[in-house]
Amino acid sequence: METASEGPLEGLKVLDLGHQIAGPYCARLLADQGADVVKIERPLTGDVARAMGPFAGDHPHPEKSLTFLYLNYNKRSLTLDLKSAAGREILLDLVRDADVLVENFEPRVMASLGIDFKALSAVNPKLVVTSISNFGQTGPRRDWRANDLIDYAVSGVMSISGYAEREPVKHGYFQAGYVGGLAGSIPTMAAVLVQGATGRGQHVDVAISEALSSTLLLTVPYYTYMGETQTRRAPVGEAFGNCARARDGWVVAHSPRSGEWGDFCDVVGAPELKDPKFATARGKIANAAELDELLGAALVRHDRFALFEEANRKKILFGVVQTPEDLARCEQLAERNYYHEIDHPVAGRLRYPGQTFEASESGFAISRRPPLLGEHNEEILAGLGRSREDILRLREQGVV
Amino acid sequence: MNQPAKTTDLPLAGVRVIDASHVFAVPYATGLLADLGAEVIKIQAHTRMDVMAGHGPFPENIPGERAWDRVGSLNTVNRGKIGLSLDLTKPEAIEIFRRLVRVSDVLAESFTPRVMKKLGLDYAALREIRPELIMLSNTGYGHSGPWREYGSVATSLEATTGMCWLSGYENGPPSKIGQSYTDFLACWNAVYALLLSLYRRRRTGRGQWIDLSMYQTGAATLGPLIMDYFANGKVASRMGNRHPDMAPHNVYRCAGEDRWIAIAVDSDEAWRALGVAMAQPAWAAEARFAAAAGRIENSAFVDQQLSAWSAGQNAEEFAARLQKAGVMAGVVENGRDLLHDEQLRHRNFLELVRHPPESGIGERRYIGRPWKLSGAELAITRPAPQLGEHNREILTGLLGYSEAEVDALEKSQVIGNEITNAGKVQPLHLEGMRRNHRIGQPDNGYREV
Repeated sequence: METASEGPLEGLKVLDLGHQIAGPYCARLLADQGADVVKIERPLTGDVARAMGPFAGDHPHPEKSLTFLYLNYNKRSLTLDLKSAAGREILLDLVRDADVLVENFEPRVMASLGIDFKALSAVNPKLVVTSISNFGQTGPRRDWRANDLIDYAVSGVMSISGYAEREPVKHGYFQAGYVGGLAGSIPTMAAVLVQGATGRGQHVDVAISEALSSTLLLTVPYYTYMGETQTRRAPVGEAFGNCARARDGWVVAHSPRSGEWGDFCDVVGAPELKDPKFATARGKIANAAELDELLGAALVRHDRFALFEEANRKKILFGVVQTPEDLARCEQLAERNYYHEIDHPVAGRLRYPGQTFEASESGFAISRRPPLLGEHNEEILAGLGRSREDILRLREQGVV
Repeated sequence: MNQPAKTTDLPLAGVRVIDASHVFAVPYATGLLADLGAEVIKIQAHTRMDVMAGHGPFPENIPGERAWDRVGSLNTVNRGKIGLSLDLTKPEAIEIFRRLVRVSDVLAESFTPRVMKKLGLDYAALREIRPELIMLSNTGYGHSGPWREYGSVATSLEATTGMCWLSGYENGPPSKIGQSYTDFLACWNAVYALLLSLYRRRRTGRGQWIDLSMYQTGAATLGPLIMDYFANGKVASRMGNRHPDMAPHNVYRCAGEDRWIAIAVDSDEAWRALGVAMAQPAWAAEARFAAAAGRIENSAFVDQQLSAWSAGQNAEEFAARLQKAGVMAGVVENGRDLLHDEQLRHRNFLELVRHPPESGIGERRYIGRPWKLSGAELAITRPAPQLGEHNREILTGLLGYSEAEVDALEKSQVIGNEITNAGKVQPLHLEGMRRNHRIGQPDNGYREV
């Protein structure tokens, strides 16, 4: 574990009422840059992510969920029963001294707990409250229930994902949560800038499905500019830009820029493609089936990484389909100090993915391992001026 | 209409940003900064067209005389900016660029590591003339490491980040996904990194350089799966629309052309509610489906039966009925549906923007932002600039060039407002695209939305 450098958000106090992926990821992005993040979890079971696989050692255990561990390093954990009056009182004590609160409950929940934005800002007018939800805090669909699949469906992204003759398919893994957390970090920081300049807090309302819709940079103007509706593609004339078999896995070849066709044919080892009929864009379309077949036959003769590196060295765009194992073993990521080894008393020593960008003067550090459930109860409550007896009583009452 | 109104209330009022980038990731990031109140100057090129320009779409599929100004995707990401066109191969253009850096807060660029250095516009050089500068460089793999010189586009990155491996149909091959997905992860990471750096600068007075790697932004969304390999030697694979702990969890065909509903049953209670919504068919009452384990084990059968029921249903009505019963459901919306969606309309997510009359684009709706602030009315503040539209305004007003100097710069084509060698840009071949299932049936009512 490296020592904490002076992160840009040093001194910023954040309460993370998030669960699963979106809220915790947003709060972790703040924590990674030096913010002091207190994660507030339900007593006994904690964040539901603690029950989400995969688990270290394949052993389901609340302190071994890799999903939880990944999303919650750099934070402290406090358990709090927000449904109890005593629990709510402790939360409001924390809110008095906090700068940011992040939550991703369904929109009606915060109000039902008596801690909606109005109630929180009455206690602390400079507080920024970031609410991340599937459809946003307003509108006719506000209270609809959703998860990754439903967000993808409603966002429009699924309608163009998959093949024409088959059903729409969402992107792999739980992307919607990560997209929601990442999208949440932006207006949160914008509101923190306003807070610094004016001392005013505000409510930040982030809609995960709208974040996914934001990626439809062709689908939307296809309709607004031409009245055309994009659909899923037919699997023909797909030699370029799609996953194709190599000897030991999959690669993605790109349609070379004009003037590069000869080099491309050499790199993939297919001199027969140098036939002038394939040289132009029009020719490639007219002879698509033959091109697909010849290129496919050439690609499958190569080892995927050798081809990827050779093509890129020759300045030809080329992708290689990597698995999680490839990512774990990737030399580029190692050189970029992407992985960080962290000891954990229950999960053991594990490697964690880290920063997406490097900054010349400040930035990412892992200064805390992921917290055990309620690990920092005493430290945080003592910081609020609660006595030992007080804390003991709260524990007996199940508040913490 | 857009209400730019009081830009002083906006979080980034008074912040000047230079956008020297192309395609989607960084232009979109700086477009979002403009929505937050920054003054964003788009550095354009009048020596060649943006690589995306030929892909359109164009208004009414007419590229027109100035096709480069009429590209829907680029007009989405470049909204809210003012435009300065520069031929950066000319020393006078480099001088203008440097003068601009002197009076700016942020520079965001997406050239390969070699290019900015060759132009003398790398961070080391620019920090000399503007010590407080915040500069962001976005590349495929970052400025260090063995892959630093590798070129990339979103499709190659979707492969290297692991997204292709995990996407596609269950038991099918790995698949390309969506539209330039990695671009958007990089976009949002870029905005966050820049806002952080502005916050830091307000506190310390210091700028910095951000080296953003699109590759890392993608891998970050698969964190637990990479850890699963480190910890357990396991390699996760494709699940299509399925979920490890839920069934049904898929999309189901409904009545009409390419209409689908997504349904996710996350509890036995939700399963019973789904049964009620389907008028209690005998198969759904079978004991083996009462608990999640049994439904997951028999998910192919359950999906088949559910599809048979949904095929006669109106997708919108079925989804609303299921939601009312507490079952997670939603329509698989297409591009047309989004423009007619009541929720998005209520939130003004797709904003109406008026282009200047001479552009011939008129009023169009554009993707806004997936966030709202209670303290400021965010909006797209102006349409994307036409090529070189603000050359004179920026050079004389901001940088102190005289009118005569600007005339001379125009004459020597250091600046310009048209691309002379663009050639004739062709409209999209819509009928061919329809044959290849890239687009469905046209809707002539699209100008009314």
